[in-house]
Amino acid sequence: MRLNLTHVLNSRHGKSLRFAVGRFPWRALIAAFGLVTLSSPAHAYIDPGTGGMLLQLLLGGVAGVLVIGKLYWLRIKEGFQNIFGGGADSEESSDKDGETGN
Amino acid sequence: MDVKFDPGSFKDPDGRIFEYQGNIYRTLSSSAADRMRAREADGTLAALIDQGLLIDSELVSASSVGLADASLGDTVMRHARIPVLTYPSEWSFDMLRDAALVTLDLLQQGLERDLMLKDATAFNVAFHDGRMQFFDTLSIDDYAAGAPWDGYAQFCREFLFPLMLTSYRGIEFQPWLRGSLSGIPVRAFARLLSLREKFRGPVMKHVVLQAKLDRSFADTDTEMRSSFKTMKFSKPMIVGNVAGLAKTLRKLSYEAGDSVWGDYASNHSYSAEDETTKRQFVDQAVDHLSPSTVVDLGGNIGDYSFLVAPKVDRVLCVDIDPACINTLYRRIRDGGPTNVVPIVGDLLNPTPALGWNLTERRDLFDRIRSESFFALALVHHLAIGGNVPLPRVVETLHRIAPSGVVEWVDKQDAMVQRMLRNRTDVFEDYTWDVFRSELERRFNIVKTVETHNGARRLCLLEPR
Repeated sequence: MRLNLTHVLNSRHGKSLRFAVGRFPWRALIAAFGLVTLSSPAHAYIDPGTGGMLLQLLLGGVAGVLVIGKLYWLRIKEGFQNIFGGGADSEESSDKDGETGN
Repeated sequence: MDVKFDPGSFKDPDGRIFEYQGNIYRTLSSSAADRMRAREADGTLAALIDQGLLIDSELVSASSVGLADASLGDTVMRHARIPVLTYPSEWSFDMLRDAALVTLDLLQQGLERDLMLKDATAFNVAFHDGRMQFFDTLSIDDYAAGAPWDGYAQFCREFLFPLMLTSYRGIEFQPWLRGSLSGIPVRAFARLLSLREKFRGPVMKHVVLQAKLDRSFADTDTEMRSSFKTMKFSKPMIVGNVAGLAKTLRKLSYEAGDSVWGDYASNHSYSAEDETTKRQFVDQAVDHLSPSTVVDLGGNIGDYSFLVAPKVDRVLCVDIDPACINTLYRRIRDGGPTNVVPIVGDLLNPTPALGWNLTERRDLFDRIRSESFFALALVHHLAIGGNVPLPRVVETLHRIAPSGVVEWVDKQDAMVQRMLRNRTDVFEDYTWDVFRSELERRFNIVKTVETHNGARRLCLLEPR
């Protein structure tokens, strides 16, 4: 799963956010997130910890808040899809079941 | 060739600590050797050493120090020897806080030079020469633009949370750090705090939010690292976080309200005359035994350690009370003798061997063994407070050092009377005669002096 901010901003939530914070440099932010797939992250010598990494994103400012908002949004969406069923999600949930067995 | 690798040095594939002919070295992978050469050339190592943040370290060619084994590489790093390494669970509050501040200071100065610390464990720091010093030179790495601080969560677990636990909750952190070598996990720590504490700014940020995010997303397979680069995560954000952490740490207060021994010096039962006698006795004992190393067992705030420090190479002052050791550490930091090592330790439950294979961290006795011991006003705490039979007390003292000074505290003594006030006296064998004969089995009693009108006795013990 990769984060794509363009998607967030084009969604209804993104638009309302844009309305709320009119002077925010969205263009730079979108450009930055468009690069997601191009970056090749260096690997850490120790496990930086999920909470530790995400908190640093959060402290990093608005863009970090959006990344985390997106993560929560995906989680909610996934929850809905699990309840109402859906082609792609049954695959995802079976992955999860597999994980707990490992 | 006698190269002895440190069994606790294996986590970083870039290098391992070893001992050779009494010196301490570190192997360097070829990339690590390049990095360290660059840090030596640009003056980083020298600057950090000069400020007292980093232990004395220098690059040497392996052949120049007689290392012929090719597997050790051409270049190795030589470090100052730390004669007795103590662990975070044996430090007091201010020791752990100073170690944390040293780590943050190093990171901050590193970032100014485009460097990063690749981890942030408290085990990278040691008490050496009177202060907390960083010694894991290989942790100093190049900073990759846009990367987060990977050691942040580790820093919280091993420094920030234990210090907050003690400062906010009044619970000493030492048993927690002994129980877990990787510190206090964020989600566990969040559960320990009260609602009021959770609303403190730094707690909300570093504990509540971090725990929440960890709980929510630790089990997802989302790759997050790339988000840092793309959202233009930058050095100033790490610098800001580091500065905030340092400020938070400086504000934490340590009030040892429950300390039994913190006021010992003003509360103890010694008359001025008895105290003079005791100081003279200990002083003369050290002249007589002339040990190079002394371990002061139950050393309190280090009065006797300080007394003999100028006459010996090293004094280890071990006390069960973290508040006493904190006072001792502050005395050393504020200009006291730098050859005294403060150690929080419980003789009834000393630090065991810990970690991988039980060889990663050595047990307390393995590290504190010395030429002489002081066991002043201690035996009654072990024998009556801890129900340890006198023969076993003497056996353990002998195991720690072959000579020393021991103080016998008779049952009629006020302190012993107080210990017995609410319990049945099951200590029939707690007598001077039994103690003396046990001492004589393992030591030569050179002389004894009575204090407290005969209720206490100081004994000078030579090897048998």
